[in-house]
Amino acid sequence: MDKDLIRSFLWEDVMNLGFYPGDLKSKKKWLRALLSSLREFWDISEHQEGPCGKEGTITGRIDNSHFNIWLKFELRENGYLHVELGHIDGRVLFYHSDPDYFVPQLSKILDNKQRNIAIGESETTDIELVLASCMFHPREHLHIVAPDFDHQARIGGGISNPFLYLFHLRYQLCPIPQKREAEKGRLLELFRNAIYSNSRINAEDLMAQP
Amino acid sequence: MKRNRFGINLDEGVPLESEEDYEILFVDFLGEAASKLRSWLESGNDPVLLGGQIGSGKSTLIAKGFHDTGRLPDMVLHFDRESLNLDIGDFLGITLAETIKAALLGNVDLSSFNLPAELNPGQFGDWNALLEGLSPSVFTMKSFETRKQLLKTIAENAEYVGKAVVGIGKHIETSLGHRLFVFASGIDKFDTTGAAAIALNDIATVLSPFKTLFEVNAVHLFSKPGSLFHSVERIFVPAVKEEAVKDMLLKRLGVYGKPLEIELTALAECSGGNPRQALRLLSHYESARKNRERSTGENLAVAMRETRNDFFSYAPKPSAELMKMVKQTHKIGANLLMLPGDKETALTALYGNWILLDDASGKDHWVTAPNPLVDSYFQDKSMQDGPETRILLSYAESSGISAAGLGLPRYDAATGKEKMPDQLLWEYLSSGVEQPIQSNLTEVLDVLGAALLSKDRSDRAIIAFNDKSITEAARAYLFAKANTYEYQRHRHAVIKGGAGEEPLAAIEEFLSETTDIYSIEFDGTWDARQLDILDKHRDNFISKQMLWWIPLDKLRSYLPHWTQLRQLFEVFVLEDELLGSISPENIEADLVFFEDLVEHVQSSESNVVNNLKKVLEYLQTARIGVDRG
Repeated sequence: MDKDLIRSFLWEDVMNLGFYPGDLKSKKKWLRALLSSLREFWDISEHQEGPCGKEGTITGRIDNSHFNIWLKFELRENGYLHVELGHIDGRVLFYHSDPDYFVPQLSKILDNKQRNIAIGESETTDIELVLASCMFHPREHLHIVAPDFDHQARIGGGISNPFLYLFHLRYQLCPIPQKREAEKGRLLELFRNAIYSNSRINAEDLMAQP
Repeated sequence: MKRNRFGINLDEGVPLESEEDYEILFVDFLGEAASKLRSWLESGNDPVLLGGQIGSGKSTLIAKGFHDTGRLPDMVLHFDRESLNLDIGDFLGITLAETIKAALLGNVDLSSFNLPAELNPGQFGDWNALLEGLSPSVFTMKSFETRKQLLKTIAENAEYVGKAVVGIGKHIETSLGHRLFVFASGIDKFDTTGAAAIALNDIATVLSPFKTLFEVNAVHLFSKPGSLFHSVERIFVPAVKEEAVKDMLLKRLGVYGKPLEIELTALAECSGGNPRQALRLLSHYESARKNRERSTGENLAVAMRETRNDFFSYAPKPSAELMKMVKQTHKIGANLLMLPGDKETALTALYGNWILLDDASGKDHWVTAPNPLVDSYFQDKSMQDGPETRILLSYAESSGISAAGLGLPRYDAATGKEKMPDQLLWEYLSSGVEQPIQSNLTEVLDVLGAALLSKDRSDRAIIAFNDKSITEAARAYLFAKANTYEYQRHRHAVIKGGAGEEPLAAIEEFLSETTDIYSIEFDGTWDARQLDILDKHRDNFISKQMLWWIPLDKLRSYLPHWTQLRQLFEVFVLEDELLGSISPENIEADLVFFEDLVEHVQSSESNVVNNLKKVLEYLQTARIGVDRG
C-alpha cells in the first residue's frame, strides 16, 4: 500500500483513539486530566485554574514562567476553541478553531475496509512521522523565541481538533529537553499499542508523565 | 520531599538532606565553614558550636557534612521538638530518652544504674518502660500526663539525673569503642535570655564530656565568660555572597531561571546573603508574577514587602540608633553583644535577623550590615538612599526602563490624580513593616495555590481575620480549591490557649492524626509561655501542610513571640468580606462542572462539591443580607 495512504490511516487512528473524548462528562475529565498533568510535566510550581464552566463551555488556565506567558482556553459545546497565549507584557495571541468552517474529513475519504491492511503494513517509523506531524513538529507552525529555547517551541497552525491542539501545547510549551524526548518515546509506545489493538486511550494514560 | 528534577523547587525551611537534593539544588557557598565541620567530624573529639543566624543554612551544612564524611551521630537530640516547659526537666528528659535508646540499641549493661525505679518506682520497672514514658510511641492523654510528671521529677533531681546521663554515656562509649558522638540540634531556636537559656547551659555541661555538635544561633557564639559555651570551639556560618545566592536561586528555578537573571540579581541583593530570606523573596516574586496588572519592577517591590511582612511585622525591634550605627560602620562591637537583656540590644538585632553578620572572626568587632529588607524602616523618610530603592532603580536601569516605568499604581484612588514616581515607590517600600496588608481570598489563593495546597509541598500559612463569621466559608473555599488540583483530606481543630489550658498537647494530639491539610483555629488568649514553647516547636511543622486561623487583634501580640515560627509561615490578613473576591456565579460554575464528575465519596470531586456548597450557601446568605441592607 502507498506509504501516504498508510500514514493517512494512522493519522485517522491517532485522532480517533486519542482525541475524541465523547460526551460532555468525558470531555470534562479529559480536560481536567490535561490541565492537572501540566504542573508536573513542565516542572513548575504554579497550579492551574479550572477547568470549570457551565452550559457546555469549559474553561481553564495555567501559567508558564519560562516563556513568561499564560495559557487560557475556552471550549464551547459546539466544538469552538478559543486559546489565549498571553505574555506578561500584555500582548496576547489568540488561536481559534471554528467548526462553522470546513476542513477535509479523512474519515469520509478513506475506505475503512482497508484499515487493517494499512495498519498491518505500517512500520514504527510511520507512526513516528504521524505523531511528529500531529504534535511534535506540525507542518505549519509558529515559533516562540525564548532564551536557551530558540526554534524549539512549534505552535501548530493547522490543527482543527481542539483536543489535539491543547495536547500539542503540553509538549510544545515544555522547556525541558529531557522530558520532551522521553515524552516522544512514551507516546510512540502508547499510540502504537492503541493502534494495533484498535483501543481507545483513556485520558489518564494519555496525560501520564514520561 | 519530592523534587522537580529540571524545573522549579520553592519549598522553604526544609534542609537539603538527600542525594537528589544535593544533586539538584546544593550550592557550595559555605566553603570555609563546611571544611571546618568536615575536619571536626573526621578527627574532632571535643564539643563544637556550629552557629549562624536564622535561615543561614546551618541544617543543610550539617546534613551535608554527615553525608560527605559518612560520620553519623550516635545520638541525635531534638531540643526544638519535644519541649513542654522550656526548663531543665524538658532538656534533660530529651537527653535521657535518647541516651537510654542508644544504650538499649547497643545492648549496653545498665545494671549499675537504677533510674527506672528511682524516677517513678510505681510505674517503671525497666528501661524500656522508662523510655516509653519519656518518649511515648502513641500520643494519649495518659501518656501526656505521665511524661509531664516524669519531666517534673527529673527537673527536681536535675543534678543527679545529669550525672546519670553522663555515666550511661560513658558506658556507651566503652561499648562503642570510640568517643560518643552527640548531635544537639535545635538549640538555635532559643535566644540567650530566660529560663530556657539557663537550662541549656546546664544541658551543655552534661554533654560537654562527649564529642557534641551543638547547633546554635549566632547569638550563642557571643556568650559571656563563665558560660559553658564560652570556651567551646566554634564554627561560624556567615552571610553568603550575593553571587552564590543568585546561583542558588537559579538552581531553584531550573530551566525556568535563565530568563529571570536580572530579577534574581535584584532578589539576591535584597536577601542580604541569607539563603532562606532569598528563597522567601523568590517565592513571593513568583506569586506576584501571577498578577498581570503589575510590571516586573512592581513585582520585585511586592516580593520585598511580602517577605518583610512575613519575617518582621510586629517583631521586637532593635533601636534605630543601633541600626544606624551598623549601617555607618558595617561593624558591631563585641561589647554590645555581651550586654544583658535590654530588648533593644544588639542581640535582638542579631537573633531577629535585623542585621546580618558577615564575619565573626574579629576579637572586638564583627563585620555586619543591616538587613536590606528592613533598612529603609530605620532611615529618614527620604526616598533616595534606601537599599530597596537602590535595588529597584538598579533593576530599572539594567532593564532599560526609567524609574517611572517601574509601573507602580499611578493613580490616587481618592483623587484620581497621577502620583509622582517617588511617591509610588515610597508607598510600596514604606508599607508593611508595621502590619501585613489585607488580601482578599483569591489573592491568598494565588499564593497558596502555588505553595501550600499541594501534597508535594509542605508549606504553611497564618491567616489572620477580623470577622470570624467568614472563616468557615473561607476555609471551605480553600479546601475546595485544593481538591480541584488533587485529592486532599483536611482536618480542622479549634485549639484554646490561656490559663488552665494545654494547647500544645492538643496540637501534638491533632498532628498525630493522619490527613493532608491541618487547619487550626487559635481560640482564647494564649499566654506568653504557650506562645514561646510553640515557637521552639518550629521543626515539628516542617513536614506538614498547615493553615492557622488567628484573630488579627491576637496575632499582633502573638507574632513578637514567634521569631522562629514565622520563618515557616506566610502571613495573610483576610479581608472582612468575601463577596468582593468570589462571586456566587463563579462558585455555581465550578459546582456544575464538578457535580457530574463525582463517582465516590472519598474523591477530590466529592470534596470540591461539598465545600463549594458551603461557600455558596454562605455567599447567598450574605448577598441577601446586602440586598436587604
